[in-house]
Amino acid sequence: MDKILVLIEHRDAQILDHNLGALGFATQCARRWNADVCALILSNNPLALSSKLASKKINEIVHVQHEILKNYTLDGYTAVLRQWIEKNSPKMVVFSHTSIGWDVGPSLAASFQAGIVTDISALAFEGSEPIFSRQVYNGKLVEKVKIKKAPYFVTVERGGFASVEEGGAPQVQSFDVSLDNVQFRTEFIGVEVAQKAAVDLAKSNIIVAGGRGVGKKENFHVIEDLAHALGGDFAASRPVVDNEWVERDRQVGSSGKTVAPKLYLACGISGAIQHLSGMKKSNVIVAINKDPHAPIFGVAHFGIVGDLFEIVPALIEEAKSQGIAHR
Amino acid sequence: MNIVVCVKAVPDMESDFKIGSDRRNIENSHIVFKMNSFDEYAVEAALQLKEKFSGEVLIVSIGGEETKQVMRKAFAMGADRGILVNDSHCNDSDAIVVSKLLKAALLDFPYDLILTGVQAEDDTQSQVGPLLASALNIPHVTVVTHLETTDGKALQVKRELEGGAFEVVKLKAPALLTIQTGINNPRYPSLPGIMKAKKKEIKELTLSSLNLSPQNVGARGSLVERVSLEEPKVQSQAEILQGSAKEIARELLSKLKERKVF
Ligand SMILES: Cc1cc2nc3c(=O)[nH]c(=O)nc-3n(C[C@H](O)[C@H](O)[C@H](O)COP(=O)(O)OP(=O)(O)OC[C@H]3O[C@@H](n4cnc5c(N)ncnc54)[C@H](O)[C@@H]3O)c2cc1C
Repeated sequence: MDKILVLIEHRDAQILDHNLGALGFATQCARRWNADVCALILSNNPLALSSKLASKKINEIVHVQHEILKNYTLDGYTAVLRQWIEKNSPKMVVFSHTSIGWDVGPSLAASFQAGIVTDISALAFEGSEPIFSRQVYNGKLVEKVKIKKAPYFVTVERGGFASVEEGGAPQVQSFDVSLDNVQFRTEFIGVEVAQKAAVDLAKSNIIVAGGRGVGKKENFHVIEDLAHALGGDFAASRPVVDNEWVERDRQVGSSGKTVAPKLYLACGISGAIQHLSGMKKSNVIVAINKDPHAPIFGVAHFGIVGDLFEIVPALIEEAKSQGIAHR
Repeated sequence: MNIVVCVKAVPDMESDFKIGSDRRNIENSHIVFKMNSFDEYAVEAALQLKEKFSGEVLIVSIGGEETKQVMRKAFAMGADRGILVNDSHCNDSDAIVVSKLLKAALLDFPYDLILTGVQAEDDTQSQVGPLLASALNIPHVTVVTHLETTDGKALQVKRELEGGAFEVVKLKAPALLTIQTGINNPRYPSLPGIMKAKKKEIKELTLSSLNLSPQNVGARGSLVERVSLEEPKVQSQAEILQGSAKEIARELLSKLKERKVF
């Protein structure tokens, strides 16, 4: 039986949620190929982690235990994955598109003379051949790609696929590795968590977010003013934070906060995949953007195509005259 | 300290993208190319290290005429010279092939550090950096947001994790780092910089000068193949509000009240 390997990621002794989507992706392929899905947990204590997967509809949970696997290192993970792949010759190797997946996936694929496609957002088949969809040009277009021959190495969009189903009873196995001859060229020193924010955006009901379209720091007050007039909080996309117009703890997106307020109003934000992953579950999404093709309109419920410097002041005035903030 | 920065010319993302008649590429005629914004941060990081430790900053790219402008921008910022693999056989190469081409182009250069952007804005693969590192058999760290070195050899970096956390990693040059936006403030080219840039050398290489055969590059040499390029399917079609700013503001607030936001 063919195998599909899925690398399970963890942090702070917790399996990360996005793994469930990667497993969901893998089970779609497994159904088509009648293959087994094997979830690999590399850790100093895999047993403590694997309970979260114990009832998922997958075939195997593979524990790889070693003190050195407590934290991610490029050389440690590469060595373990290479040994497992050499022994099991999987048809497909699945990573999440994350700081681990994109770090270890490409070079591993190259070492097996295999092709790799990253940040996959949708999957289809032509016969038994997988066709992968992925965003290009900042989400304005989608490309469909294939890998000419198996094994297929992939990283899948974080949160891009439905979670693997419940109702399975995977076999738990251990895989013994030898890491004695591995040269560790990078040394893990530690993890720094993000600073505690002055405002907890995850609790906000109304968020007004500004992007690069706001133009400069001196302009950003219009976003703050609108947030205030609507009785909400303000947030920002990454370039705004990189340019130091706003503190980092207000960044929404994959490397910032994940939010799901009643209202998310995006002003001058294009809607890159990393921004969307932090806000697309919001109840009502409104986008103001002068580019009618901006991908943010693809997730918005209401769209305004125009200059935010005309629309936002009008909104502030209207909201104030209706006393919205005091409702 | 000799530093290589790999840069890519990419379309301005605010362009109106049209799918070409082959249904596999965009129509290029009206597109304005610029330096991949992630690479601007990589160039700046290299220049800061050069200022501290002296040495050379070499810009490497694969592309055509549009790429020369982008390399000149890096020169105007302060980079010293460039190598451009300019050969149409390389079109449609996948990331693994691109990394082999870059490796071949770097053959004679005694680098201490190689920097790339985290990803290219156009195809966002985030593959070429790690692939080049493994082809050269040097370690890599991706998504670097902070870089410290006191001697140009021992490096301590921070890399970004999901959700706003960072990982601190130590390693030794030679190494490859993929640079994330926000690590620095890329400088604007100065007027004297722009003047000097015109005289800096771009060495152009073709496949034959790299001793590579057309079979092993481009679509033929690649394992990953683009089948088609399409308009995105949107799940929910946004309701577009129209009118004067004032009308739009009123209508939006009343729609939001209907939706019980307020
Ligand atoms: C590993 C990684 C992690 C990342 N994490 C995040 C993250 O957590 N959060 C995040 O946001 N990004 C993140 N990014 C960056 C992301 O890819 C985009 O670059 C970013 O989201 C773009 O921000 P933006 O939409 O504000 O800017 P742009 O993409 O430049 O868009 C600006 C928009 O403003 C519009 N505009 C301009 N002027 C006006 C005007 N006057 N009126 C109305 N509209 C106007 C333009 O049409 C354009 O659509 C990450 C990237 C990587 C590689």
